[in-house]
Amino acid sequence: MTPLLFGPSSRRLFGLFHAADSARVSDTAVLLCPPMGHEALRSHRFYRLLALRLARAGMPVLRFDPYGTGDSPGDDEDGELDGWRRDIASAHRELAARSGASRIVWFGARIGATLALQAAAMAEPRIARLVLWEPVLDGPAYLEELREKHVSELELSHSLPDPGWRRSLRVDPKAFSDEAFGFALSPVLRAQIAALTPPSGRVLGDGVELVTLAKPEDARTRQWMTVQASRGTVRHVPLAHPLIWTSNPSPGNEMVPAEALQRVMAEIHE
Amino acid sequence: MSDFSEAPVLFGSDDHLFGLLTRPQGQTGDIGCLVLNTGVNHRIGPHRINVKAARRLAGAGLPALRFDLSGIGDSVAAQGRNGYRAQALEDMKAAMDFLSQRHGLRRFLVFGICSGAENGLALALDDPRVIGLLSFDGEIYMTRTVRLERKLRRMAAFPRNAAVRASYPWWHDLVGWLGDGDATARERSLGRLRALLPRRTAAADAGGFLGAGEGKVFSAADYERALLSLVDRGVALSLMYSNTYNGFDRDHSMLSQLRGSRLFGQVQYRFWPDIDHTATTLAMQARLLDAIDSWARGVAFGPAAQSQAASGAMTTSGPAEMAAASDCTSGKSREK
Repeated sequence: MTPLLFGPSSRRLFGLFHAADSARVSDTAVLLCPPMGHEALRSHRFYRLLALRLARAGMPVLRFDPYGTGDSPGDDEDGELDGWRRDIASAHRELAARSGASRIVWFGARIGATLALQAAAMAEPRIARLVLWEPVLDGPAYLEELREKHVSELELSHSLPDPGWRRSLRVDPKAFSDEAFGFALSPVLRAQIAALTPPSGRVLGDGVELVTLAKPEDARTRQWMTVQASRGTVRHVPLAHPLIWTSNPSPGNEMVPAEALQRVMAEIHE
Repeated sequence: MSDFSEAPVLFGSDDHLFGLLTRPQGQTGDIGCLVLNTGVNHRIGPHRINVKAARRLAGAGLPALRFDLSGIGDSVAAQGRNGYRAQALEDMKAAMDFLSQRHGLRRFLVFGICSGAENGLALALDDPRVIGLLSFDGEIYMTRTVRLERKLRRMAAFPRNAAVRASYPWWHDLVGWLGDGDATARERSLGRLRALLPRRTAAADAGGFLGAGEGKVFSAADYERALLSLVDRGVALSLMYSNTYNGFDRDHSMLSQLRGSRLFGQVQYRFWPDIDHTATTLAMQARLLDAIDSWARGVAFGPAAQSQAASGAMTTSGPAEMAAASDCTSGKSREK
């Protein structure tokens, strides 16, 4: 594992490069795009183990934190989707240069998947496959979910929770909207997320495979992929798992569900 | 232009430990800071608070290393046979060794939340290089009376506060059993009823904030002796507590088994009625970060430096003066 700072001097990004096991080098490299906010914290362990296993299987891997998140420079308030898409492109170039791989696969979870989907068309060199785990396709619903879970977290973390929080949540659509789990959501970022809808039309260029993994009950992703199926090489994989994206990392909820890790591994490199 | 720089670092016997070092611009003295893991959260800390804390500390002129203990985040699991605490001690010492050898730092301030606070205390007791410890939701030693008060407050809120009801697993199961006919919930409920008879002896406070991890468990008297040994060594101690376990504090409730101890004249004790266990909101974080900044400046540079910290920060520094900052009865209580 090699820690690095990359990207333009005005927007340096923190990354961890996992070189491939030298005994089993493949022609494929993998870029891992993280979710945002609490979901990124929650899935950090998953991403680490995924990177280690992919590297052991012969694939160089780059993990990174978009600007204003994780270990990267910048503050929460700097985070916004346009910049994060450019960060994915920047990480892609870094991975291509470091690995020399002829084939690059992107994996993203939650909003990291959404951003990867949006950024894929501008990737240079072109990517071979895009694997998306529970992409956020409905921005308003996602923001509403974050609001609700934020209040649930506050209730859990107070000996005597204020009943007024939940009342505010019900009657005031702006209440608890400027942060989620202690991560700031700037007005720009909120507006960008609120505008997220399932992309229509053809989303990827020729020869790029698209794979989605989503809960079996997630009809929206399944329906969107049904439409995409007529436009290219796509595959939708129902994946039930116990990981709760908004829970705290603790033994109370599995950190790295084995079945999810195996499935994601398989969709990336098989 | 920021007033700090950050760089990833690998250290430890096989470079198996990983962290980010945040350094002030320009020259620094010989004091550095360790910002510790909370539970299994990696080095950014819950809500990224470790990143914010390290940057505030660097902004105050203090290099700060936030890093992952063995087996957490991106640090490799240890290969030896140490228990959790022993390994954490080795790792924290390795962090100080690294900062000494590579950056000339000789004395250290340590900040930790929950398990981080417990690890920080273990380190302070074990290594004289530690000159200050800010423990947030570390060990608690409450009397039975304080525990009873806490229970009564929650019971009083129970009928009109859905969130309080939802916090009890037994309530979930009871509703699941009687409301939905859930057989598993019924079994759990009956199991709980059976466990009430015969009555077991109440366990003594084990010291840990949320049940403690493995390792040596201090009695209240042990804990007092340990803290006094640090005070006598000149270590600046700040013991801060959130409202998560108890929403109300009077006369050092979280350490009420130690009431009357000379300890309280020599350490800073602070209860935050408006900050929870991991400072979940930005407002809570701002207050906690101000407190960390102010405390660190005071310990490292003396009382005059504290005035440079942001508003809302505490205004005392050395151990004797810190006693005056004990504000367990100040601030607005959330109690209704």
